[in-house]
Amino acid sequence: MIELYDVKFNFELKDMGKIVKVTFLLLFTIYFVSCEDSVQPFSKNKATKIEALVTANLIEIKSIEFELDKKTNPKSLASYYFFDKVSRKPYYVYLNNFNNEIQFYCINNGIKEYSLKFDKVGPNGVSELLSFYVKTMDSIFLISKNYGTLYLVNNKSEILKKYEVFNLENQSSYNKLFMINILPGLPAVFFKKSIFCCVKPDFVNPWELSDEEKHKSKMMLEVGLETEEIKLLSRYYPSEVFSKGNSSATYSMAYSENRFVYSFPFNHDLFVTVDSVFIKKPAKSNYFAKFSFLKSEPGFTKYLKHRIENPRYLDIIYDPFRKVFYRFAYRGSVLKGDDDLFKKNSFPDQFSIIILDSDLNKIGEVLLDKDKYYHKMYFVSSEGLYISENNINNPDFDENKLKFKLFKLVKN
Amino acid sequence: MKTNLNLSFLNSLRINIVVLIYFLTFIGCVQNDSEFNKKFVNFTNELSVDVIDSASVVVIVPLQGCGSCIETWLNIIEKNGNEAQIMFVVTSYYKKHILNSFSDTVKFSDNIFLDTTGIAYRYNLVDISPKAYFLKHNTIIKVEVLDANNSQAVYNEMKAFLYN
Repeated sequence: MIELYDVKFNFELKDMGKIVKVTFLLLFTIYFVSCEDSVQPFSKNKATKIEALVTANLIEIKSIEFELDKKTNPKSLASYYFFDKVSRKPYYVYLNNFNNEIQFYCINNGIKEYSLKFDKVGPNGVSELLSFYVKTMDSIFLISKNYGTLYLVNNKSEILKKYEVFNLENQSSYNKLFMINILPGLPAVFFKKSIFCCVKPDFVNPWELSDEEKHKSKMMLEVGLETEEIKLLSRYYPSEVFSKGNSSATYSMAYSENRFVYSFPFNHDLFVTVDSVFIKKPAKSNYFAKFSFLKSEPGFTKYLKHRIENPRYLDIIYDPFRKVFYRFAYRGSVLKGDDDLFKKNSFPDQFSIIILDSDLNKIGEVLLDKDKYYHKMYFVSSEGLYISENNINNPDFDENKLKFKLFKLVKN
Repeated sequence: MKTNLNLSFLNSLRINIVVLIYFLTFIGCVQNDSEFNKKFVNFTNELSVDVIDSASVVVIVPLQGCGSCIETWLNIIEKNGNEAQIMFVVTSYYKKHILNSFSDTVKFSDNIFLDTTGIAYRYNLVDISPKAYFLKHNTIIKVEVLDANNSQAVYNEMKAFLYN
């Protein structure tokens, strides 16, 4: 027994220097992780090598500005290009949530020509607006904080029809709480007298659901405009969206030539519907390789940090004038101790735009300047792709203007 | 002899490690509390919020985030903006957002502070919901996250804290 101790402690004595070093290392580690605020940020994924073959590029052409009045928010989650076939004028249509109104700015002269203000209560009350889609000047679809109702209104802000989409039967339990999404990155699609809208399950705590349960969620809603028949399409999330630890149900969709193209934040591939089946198309960014997922409910600060530091794909949009797709990609950022997490989250410092041809083959990728653009305000016109410069970190930011940069697609 | 010496040395090292772990963990947290308090003092200084030494409550309301929580507290500010010992700070990155959220009477009250550059966000003093900071002698003694459901209860608690 003593011999055994002798052997053991002789050995430990010999390695005492190592033990002391390890102990100090351990102590320092414990010290740094002892309180939440001291947690070091995740290291940023290294950018992958840029592809050699680039056949398309986006070139900055010019800037345009729309003057905002004192009661207009310089930031909006819902804004679109709209060409009025009656007046033959192109408009940038903008949701101003300060005033519960939709504003029409003429792109040719930068002047606000129309404004539709909506009551929150009363016979034409639509609650607080969240988003909209202009089909014609006299036929505008609205979604609001009266969740579950899709409104059709005219150009006098009067309600023409209310579609109560929440009274659906045969929903899976996971889809009982879902959001209708009509946004620039999730546009409404009109097809055969129906409007197709993206829906997203509202997972209360996605970390508590199994991948299989999340996969049972449906993604599209069809509303018969004349029949008022409302149904959730049997289009489920692709199983691999949730298979690698992702818990986010977020996605973006673009539509062209009877194809719905889905982009998920944490999947390099695009998912395209062909005859009701998904076909995958690779559309990977050159600026990141791997994704990082949170394994459990992280708390708000950790969630924000994780979101800022790690890459993800943003919106995908279709450019019908040039028959290409643009997929926005955020490559993640390195946080400093005194960074404003809210600002960094709302205005990602730098993102790239992947260009894909009509068959969804990647033909280029452009990394935009840092702290200059706002990824949620953009539109496509016959002239090219306009990206908002209303990034609050942009030194030229002015809260009384909407500024855009026009990018022209150039193919080699 | 050699063995006994080593054994006692290791035992003492083990005890020291445990003591050190507790000590460093404790110090780490204390430092964070003190850092947090320092941040808060810097924040009040930057906005020129005159915190009353004996007892004060500073309510920070962000204009982005939980809609119903924010709306409830904006209404409370609109009605109680003259509650002198409660300091209301309204935070946004956009000046016009704040100016469009209140009547003129409230905007220019002495105890309403307009944080038009998002200083509260920068110091991580607020996230998606309003927060109430209860202070005694310039030290934070309690933080309450405010929502639409606890508004009246917390408002009563503030009054009790200030006037009892």
